Amino acid sequence: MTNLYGLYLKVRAVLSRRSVEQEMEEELRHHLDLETQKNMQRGLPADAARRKALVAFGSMDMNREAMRDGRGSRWFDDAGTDIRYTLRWLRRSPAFTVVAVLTLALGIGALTAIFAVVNTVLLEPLPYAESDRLAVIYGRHVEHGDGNNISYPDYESWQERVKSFSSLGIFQWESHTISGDGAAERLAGADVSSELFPILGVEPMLGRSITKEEQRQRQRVAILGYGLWQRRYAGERSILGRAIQVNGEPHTVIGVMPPRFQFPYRGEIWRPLAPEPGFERRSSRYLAGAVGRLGDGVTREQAEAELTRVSEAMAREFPEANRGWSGQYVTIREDLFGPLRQAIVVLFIAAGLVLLIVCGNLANLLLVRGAARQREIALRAAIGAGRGRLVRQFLTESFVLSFLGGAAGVLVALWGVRILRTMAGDQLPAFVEIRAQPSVYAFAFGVATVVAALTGLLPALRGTRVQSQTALKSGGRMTVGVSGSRLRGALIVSEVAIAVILLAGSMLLMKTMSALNSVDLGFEPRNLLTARYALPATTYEDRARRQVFLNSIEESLRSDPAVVSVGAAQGTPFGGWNVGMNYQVQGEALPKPGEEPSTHFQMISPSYFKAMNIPIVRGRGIEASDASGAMNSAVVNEAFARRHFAGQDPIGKHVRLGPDDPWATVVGVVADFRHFVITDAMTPALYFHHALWSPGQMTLAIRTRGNASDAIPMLQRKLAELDRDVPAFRVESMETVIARRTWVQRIARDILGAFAAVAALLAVIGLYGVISYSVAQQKHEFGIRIALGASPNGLLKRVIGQGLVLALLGIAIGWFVAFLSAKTLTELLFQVQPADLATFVIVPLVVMGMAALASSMPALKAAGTDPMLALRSD
Amino acid sequence: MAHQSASDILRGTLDLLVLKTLALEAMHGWGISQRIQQMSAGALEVNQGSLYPALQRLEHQGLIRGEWQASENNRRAKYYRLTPVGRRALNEETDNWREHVRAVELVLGTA
Repeated sequence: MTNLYGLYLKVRAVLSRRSVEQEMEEELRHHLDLETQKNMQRGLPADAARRKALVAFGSMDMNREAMRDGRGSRWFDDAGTDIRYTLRWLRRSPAFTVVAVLTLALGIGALTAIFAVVNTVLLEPLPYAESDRLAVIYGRHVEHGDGNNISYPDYESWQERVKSFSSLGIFQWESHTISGDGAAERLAGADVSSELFPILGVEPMLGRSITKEEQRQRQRVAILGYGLWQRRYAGERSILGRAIQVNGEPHTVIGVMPPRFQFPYRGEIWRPLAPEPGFERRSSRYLAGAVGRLGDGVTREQAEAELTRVSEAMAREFPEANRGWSGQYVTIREDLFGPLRQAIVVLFIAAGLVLLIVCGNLANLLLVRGAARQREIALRAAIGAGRGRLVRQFLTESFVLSFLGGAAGVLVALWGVRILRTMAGDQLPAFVEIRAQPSVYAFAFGVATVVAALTGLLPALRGTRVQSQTALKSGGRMTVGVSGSRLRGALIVSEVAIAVILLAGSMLLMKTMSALNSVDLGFEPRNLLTARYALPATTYEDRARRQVFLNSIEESLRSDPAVVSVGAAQGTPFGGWNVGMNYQVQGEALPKPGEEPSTHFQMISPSYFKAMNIPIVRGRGIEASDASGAMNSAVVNEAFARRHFAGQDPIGKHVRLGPDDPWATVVGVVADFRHFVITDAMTPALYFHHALWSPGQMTLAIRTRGNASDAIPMLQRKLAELDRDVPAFRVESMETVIARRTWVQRIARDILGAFAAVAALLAVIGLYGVISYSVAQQKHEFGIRIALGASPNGLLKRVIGQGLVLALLGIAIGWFVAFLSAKTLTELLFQVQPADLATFVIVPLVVMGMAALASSMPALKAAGTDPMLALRSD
Repeated sequence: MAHQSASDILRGTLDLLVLKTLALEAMHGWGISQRIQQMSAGALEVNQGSLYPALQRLEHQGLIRGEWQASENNRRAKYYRLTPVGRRALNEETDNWREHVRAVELVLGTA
């Protein structure tokens, strides 16, 4: 039976404790008054009548307590008392309170802020259905590991043969110029096969998806992202069926995707992936990748194994195109976040370790407080408080502190989340929004609870284990006792160990970052602006027009006083543009099919090397006169020359791209420079004049006199003057581009560095606290020792030694753990071994020095003990 | 076994007596204690203080409900009345009690 009224009474007993008590008193008083009255009516005098009534009633207090127990609110009453008691104590010791709450806030806040990122990056659903069952399939050459694009025939074979996927779609990165309806803008997006959206499990919120027919017939239709639709077309539903200008060609809008949906990455416009010339060649791997959804009950491992098996069969069937090629399975989350995932896990663990140090210090403080209260506790135990009741009181204290710290920690976390969001900038897809979700608050609450248990339980169990007799007798001079100081020592040892681990990790990342920063790029990244443009195929069908456009924009920019020099290539370094090309060298035997060497290949303008500050080592660069007969002259880099012409003069040698092309003469050698991945070794490269194919898409490299970013408005103006439908995109200074490539390492270094510094500081403060306390406890003993002739120097050494022993133990343990776990950082490191010698020597020494400093202060105090004062203090 | 005053009421019995008393009309605590004495012709004396924990317990169980009202001498007093659930409980407990007494009688009679 549910007794709602009884429940109401219980709730009322908790919530309006005071009025329930008052009512009880009133009722009892009423009873006594009536009983007294009755006795008086029988002829007793007033005071005797009252006394008789009281006797008849029995023990007032016992019955009151029985009623209080009966209400079921005893637990809450006690908690209320404990909390009030704790708050009074905290108010009385403001310094302790502030330090404890602030360090807790820092620890809990940092962990919570990182959790917010963990939540968005690792846990929150992506805007695709069941995204953990989605895989992106890239191509991969088994031996040299490079290349991640795929060819259409390979995709079709996989689609047909790999049964692990319920379906397989394909996409190609595309960016488009949208014009009409306002200023032209450049947008990222993709050309996709009709399977793709169904595989991602997302349907357009307006209109419909792409059909197989539209794909086959190359129809000019487009689906818009929600953001684009809102931004450019004011969210009008009439957009469906309208024609918009994409790369100067009208495309009919057939659908709008729901908010949050972007693919791939920040892409927000999609067209059918239409077959084009070269599509059917198995060896032309230039499509971005395939996307598949795992079939029911299929695991990733099974799918990967089948993909490898099928790819090996394909390599046997089509040896010319496929020998050595396989597929690479990447979950869509791995694809989106890459090394960021590892960095976040590392930072989350680091934040957890910092919080452990905070807990260690707090537990130490509470242990000391527990020791100081032994008399009080003994007294309470003597008058009947059970151990459970006493433990509860101790725990209430740590809970109150932890929740105060947790509440302040939420503020720290909100602030931290804002910083992290700024750090992430536009590196993540727009649907990944780092923010404090409700689960983040729940997390902070949970962490505060764990912290309360961690910091409170030890002091509570130890503090209440009191021998009443001894404690009451010993006159108030209390110490933690031998086992107590051993416990405090153990806490400090763990704190030092944690600090060593974090310091080692952050030093590895610092070395990585400085290695990344000091990589010799081979060109000058400062004062260099890069910008890409793409000429619409409709208006620039004529090759001559495309060449004229490039010449005109270079000339126009060159005339600006802010510009030192201008050049152009298909892609500037780290801009994401990289094309590998097979080639032949005259005089060398033809390679076997599937083993043709590949080189980086670019079409450039004559002034490109000059604008980039890349020296010509031999011969000449590409010159304007190469425009006519662009196929006749080629420039190679030093790596190319080393590969083919070691010990010979490369000038005058001949190379060609394929058997049907004429031989080109090598006219010069340029110095090596890094192009695609900062951390990769220099690879061979081959350069031709841009007139070779006159690409419609080129990247300008503009060497500026001052800050590169200041030249951006000028650049946009000059482009608009030439053709207002040709917007510049990827307009960024080279320094920004490079920072973008190393941002994960950079934020990992910055945050881990901050954590390590805080950890070291807290551990040292903790050590200082423990040594100081033990000195204070031994004051009496020191006084006697000095009175008996001990040298202050000896005491000094003794105390410092005590601190150093603790530190040394901690360092040894931390060193060992750090050494074993440094491997977890491997993916983030560059040119630094996880077992970096300097790191594992410097960090222990630094911590040792800090520990010596922390123990020398209390040691000096100990050595300066005045024997008389110390002896008299009792 | 030490001799106790015969008028002490067994704990379980007190609940039954309170319910029975309230079956006639709503009453405040002191009134209940007087009525029990009266009805038992003075043979049963309620330890007056222990009545109140019992009242609170019955109220929490939903068998009786207390309400503050003006009393005969114009003071505020808490009056208890039987709830329908309490009335059912009274009937059951009365039956149980009679059963119990009969069983004890049987044992005593055959001894």
